[in-house]
Amino acid sequence: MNAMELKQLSHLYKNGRGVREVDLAVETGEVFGFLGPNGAGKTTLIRTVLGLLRPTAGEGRVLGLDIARQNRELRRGVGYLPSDPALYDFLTGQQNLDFALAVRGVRDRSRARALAERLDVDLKRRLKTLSRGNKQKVSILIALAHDPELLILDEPTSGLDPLMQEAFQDLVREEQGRGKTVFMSSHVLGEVEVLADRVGIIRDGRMVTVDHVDHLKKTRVKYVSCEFKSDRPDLEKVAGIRNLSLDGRKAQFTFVGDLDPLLGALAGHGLADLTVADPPLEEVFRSFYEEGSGQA
Amino acid sequence: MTLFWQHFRAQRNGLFIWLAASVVTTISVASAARSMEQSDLMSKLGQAAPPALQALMGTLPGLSPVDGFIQAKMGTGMALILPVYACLLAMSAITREVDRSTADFLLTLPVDRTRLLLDRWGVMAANLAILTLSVWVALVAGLKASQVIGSFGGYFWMLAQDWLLAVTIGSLTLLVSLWIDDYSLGVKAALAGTGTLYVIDLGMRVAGISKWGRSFNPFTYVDAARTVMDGHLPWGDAAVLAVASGLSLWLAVQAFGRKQIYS
Repeated sequence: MNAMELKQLSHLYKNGRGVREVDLAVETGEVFGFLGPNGAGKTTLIRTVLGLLRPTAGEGRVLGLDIARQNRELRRGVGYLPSDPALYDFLTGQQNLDFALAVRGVRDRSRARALAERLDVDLKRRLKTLSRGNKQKVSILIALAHDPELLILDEPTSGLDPLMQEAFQDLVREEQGRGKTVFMSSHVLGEVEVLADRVGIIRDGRMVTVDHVDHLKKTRVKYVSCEFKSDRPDLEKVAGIRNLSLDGRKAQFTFVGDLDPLLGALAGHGLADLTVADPPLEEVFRSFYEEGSGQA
Repeated sequence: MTLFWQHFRAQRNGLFIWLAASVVTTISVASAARSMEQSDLMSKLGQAAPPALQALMGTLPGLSPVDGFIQAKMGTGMALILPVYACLLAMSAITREVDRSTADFLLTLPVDRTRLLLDRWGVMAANLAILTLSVWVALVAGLKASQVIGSFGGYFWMLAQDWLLAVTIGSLTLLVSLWIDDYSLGVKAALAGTGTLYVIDLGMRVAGISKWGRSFNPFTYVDAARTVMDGHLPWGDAAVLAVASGLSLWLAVQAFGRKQIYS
């Protein structure tokens, strides 16, 4: 069973923006990275899945439960971390935690205590006196404390210092190791690259690709470096080449697309050296966006 | 009951402030009642006024000077104060949660929206009841301390009627609040609306417009002088308020079930 399965799911605002016809299957036990810049529809999709917004079309199931008709039940098995900590700031961290656990009917507080210790969370102070990073730690604790089957994390490390970001990444890996599913929206691509098995990229409300991180990096964009024995060809005319840097007989560029036409264009010009490397995820991500804005 | 007590605690400081202000005011009014017992100046002044103004001044024929004074100051006063408090409580129920984004936290927990709204309404009704009962206790204690004999039972029903009015206005406000996501704007709109209804009712009563002509207005169904005189709730009017309150709550439950929470 997939932890999350969306079929043609849409939520459109009155201005026509939102998310459109999203098809997605997140497998149980995987860490899924959900990428897109601000305004692409990441948060709208998450809010629709969690029942804060109603689908305008399509359907979805989370943990086997219908997102429109069984949303309350599905929220029992979900831990949600919003992009901005939205807890009761007139209460202490402990009071916020106690409230969330009481509503969830969780009596055993041992996991919450262990997590609080590990995240070094100050639970005694009122939220309004805490920094954004410390509020975020309380939010992470509340999202994890009831041991959810599915974690939905919206920009999870915003506000966390680098050490705590590492601690958080360890936590995510551990949750995955325990068979939990993590759905993580982010525009911190390095973090997604490190943690996610697969990523989905959303652009203007539409899911433009869903693929394994490694496969995406291998097939989508390449870093190419080449040196010619004599005059180099006119690389500017080759489709798919961008960020071209020329230095005498040497050329460096990123390439988007099928390698065959590129190799054809390079052949016959006396290649002295050729290196083709996988780029970081950021370059892959950018390629989808430049394609969408007509720059590719 | 977790949701009820969580919201009740959140409203606790506000309740203490309202209680302190109301109880102090009530004791002041009660201590002034003795001078009314010994003076018929007000009744002489009020005899030429129309009945609605006589009720406001506490000079209605058929009421003792003390009862007239108490219904004028407390019955009529609480008929405005309690609805004002009800507006604030109703706007705190959902609109403030949406405004400060805590609705995201609350509604992503496995809470049932109907239960949440009913609990929030229950907190509003309970806070208003605590305030109303405290005012009655302070009134009776203040009058007894001043050795003034009044219609204590009548005062209870007079205040109970004001409570029912406040619950009705709170329920209407709760319903309307579901289309308002800005707390500050919502409070202003609710207070302006309630104040307008109060003034309209007063103006129509002074102008002698029939109860049927004023039937759209919840304030129509409150008559402190009549309730003190009769010593019991006017059951027909109470039923109208109860039905209006129940209907508003039912509509609010339906609307909240469909409400979308935007970020």
